[in-house]
Amino acid sequence: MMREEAIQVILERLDREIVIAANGFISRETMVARDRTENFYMIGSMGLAPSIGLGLALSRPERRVVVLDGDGNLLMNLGVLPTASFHAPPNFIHIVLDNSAHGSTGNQPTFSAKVPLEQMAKAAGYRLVYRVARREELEAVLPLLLGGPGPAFLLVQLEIGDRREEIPRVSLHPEAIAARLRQVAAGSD
Amino acid sequence: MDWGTHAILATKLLKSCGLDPGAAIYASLPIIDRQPTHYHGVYAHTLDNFRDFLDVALEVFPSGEFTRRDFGALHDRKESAIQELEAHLDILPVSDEKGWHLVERKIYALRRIVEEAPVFAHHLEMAATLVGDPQVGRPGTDRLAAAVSLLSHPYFDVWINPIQFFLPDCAFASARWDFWTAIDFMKFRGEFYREEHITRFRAQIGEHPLWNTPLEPEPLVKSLIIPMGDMAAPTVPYEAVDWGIRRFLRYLGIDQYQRAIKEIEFCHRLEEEIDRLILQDFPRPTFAAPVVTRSRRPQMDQTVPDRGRPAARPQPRATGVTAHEFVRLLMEAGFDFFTGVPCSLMKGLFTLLAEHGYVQAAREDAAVGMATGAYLGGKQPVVLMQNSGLGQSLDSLSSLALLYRIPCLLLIGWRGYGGKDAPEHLLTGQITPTLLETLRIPYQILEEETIPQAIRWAADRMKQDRTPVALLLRKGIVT
Repeated sequence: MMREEAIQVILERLDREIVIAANGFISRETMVARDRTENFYMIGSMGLAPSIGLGLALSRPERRVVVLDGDGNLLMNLGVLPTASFHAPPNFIHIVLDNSAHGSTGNQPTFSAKVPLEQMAKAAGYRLVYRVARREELEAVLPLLLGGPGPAFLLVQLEIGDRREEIPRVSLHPEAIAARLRQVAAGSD
Repeated sequence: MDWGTHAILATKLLKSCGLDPGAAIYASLPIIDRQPTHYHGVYAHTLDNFRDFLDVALEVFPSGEFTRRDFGALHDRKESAIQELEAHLDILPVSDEKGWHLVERKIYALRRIVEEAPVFAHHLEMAATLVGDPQVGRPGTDRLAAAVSLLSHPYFDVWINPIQFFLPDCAFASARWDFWTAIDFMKFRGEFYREEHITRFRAQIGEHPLWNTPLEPEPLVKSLIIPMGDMAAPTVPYEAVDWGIRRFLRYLGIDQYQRAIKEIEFCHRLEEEIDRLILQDFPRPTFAAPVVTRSRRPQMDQTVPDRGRPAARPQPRATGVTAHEFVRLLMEAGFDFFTGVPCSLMKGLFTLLAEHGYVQAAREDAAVGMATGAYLGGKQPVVLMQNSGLGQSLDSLSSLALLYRIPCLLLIGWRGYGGKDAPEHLLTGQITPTLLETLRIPYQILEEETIPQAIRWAADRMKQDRTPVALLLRKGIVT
């Protein structure tokens, strides 16, 4: 399974969940798969998607927040794992799309080929931790992940690859991304 | 200070260290700087020269001639010693500048100390009476005690005069610059030594319970030198302070590293107490000028960040507002989500905010991320951080908070402000406002008197422009 397929599978299962998509192809493929008002495409600030998700989950306890993170992204902000489990918002779902490569910059290898990131999440104290590799597994685990008490962590093991030229950059203006999400998430301005 | 006050303060310091109060006379040594008048305060108020002055004074004061007040014999002894030294100069090669300097310095010390011997003798008797301890009238022979006593002179002089204490390593002058702007300086210079003032000052400071703090002499030496560097303007490079301390401790035969935390704290409190006593007698006259806050200034261009400090220097160790009051003001202005990484300059705030759901982050950029999420969730966030974390947050500010136009308040503890802090904070402290300007983040520097206005400005400005804004918080603003 490649990243784009995994993202499609995940987005198909979502209802009103807020999605924070990490930068690079994760955001681009998420937008192509299903652009929703509830999607936040983080186009810069690599590493911070789960931090944004945490801030949102803690501010809006009634809304589930799904973070679509990458392995390179998470490795840049490992401190977020204990932060999430310390504050422990039950509506926080952290999915790492792990192709063990910096996909957007030419597939340079990351550490996750040798270091199981879900074990770090487990050690940090996430309430639910899963690792899947095949599409059927992903489909099976998503209801558990979305239904259970967070903070929840899912590592999706992927093959390297994408439809490079066919996936456009995020075309929405960052201000518009923030404004429309805030409207549905906060119900104000 | 005058010699009498020096004698009292030196005695107090010596007793706090359990040293011989007879060494108090060495605090009078720098009076030899009366000649030559055009270099007043330069020779014998300089740490580097103290070694020779101490060497000579430790020979002269305890000598039989001085004890008998036989100044003629003392003079003869001096002349023969100088002749010997001059003979030594004759054989020194002209190229040996350092050698010449050392010998000439020794000659100067010898000549001046013996010339002033009758004055020292007079001080000795008066000081014993003034302090009420006959032991003070018997010159001590302990080098360490004499050193503490001598060091106390320039240390206490900074309230009156600027002193180039670190010559020749650094020419910057140490003085209580900030404090002078807070008092009525001309009145202070004119009236401080008047009998009624100085007597009361001596009594008030002399009776302070602070002197009961037990101190160690070796670290005290260090803690008397360090503030001389901190108080200088411009700040003396730490290397110069460090060399000064090392050289002087080595001269005293002290090789081990001295941990001076307790002694530095003592000096700090003593300084505050002296400040307070002087301020109480010489407050700056207040003028009925309106307090102008920068928030009321017309904004020329929304993209230009608000400039830094107004011209006036801050008052030293302002009493600040309490953490309680500060949090109340933040909440009144609508702030309802607090995240960040702790900073010692606002530790009270962190303790208090813990009760209001403060969300701790592991790093400052992650805190900016959480604040972004909180804003998206309808909150009005504050990120508390030390300025060291501002650098850490650059990308999160430029490619997230500024790019997505996220209103949030960065409350930044300004370590290294005014060049007075541990070395790791100095450069960051210097460039903190520049960093904010580079990022085009509007900011203000919190002044004690205008905290409510500044917080309102921050809340209004960030919402109006949908941008992160910053408030820089110096030491002592929030207590």
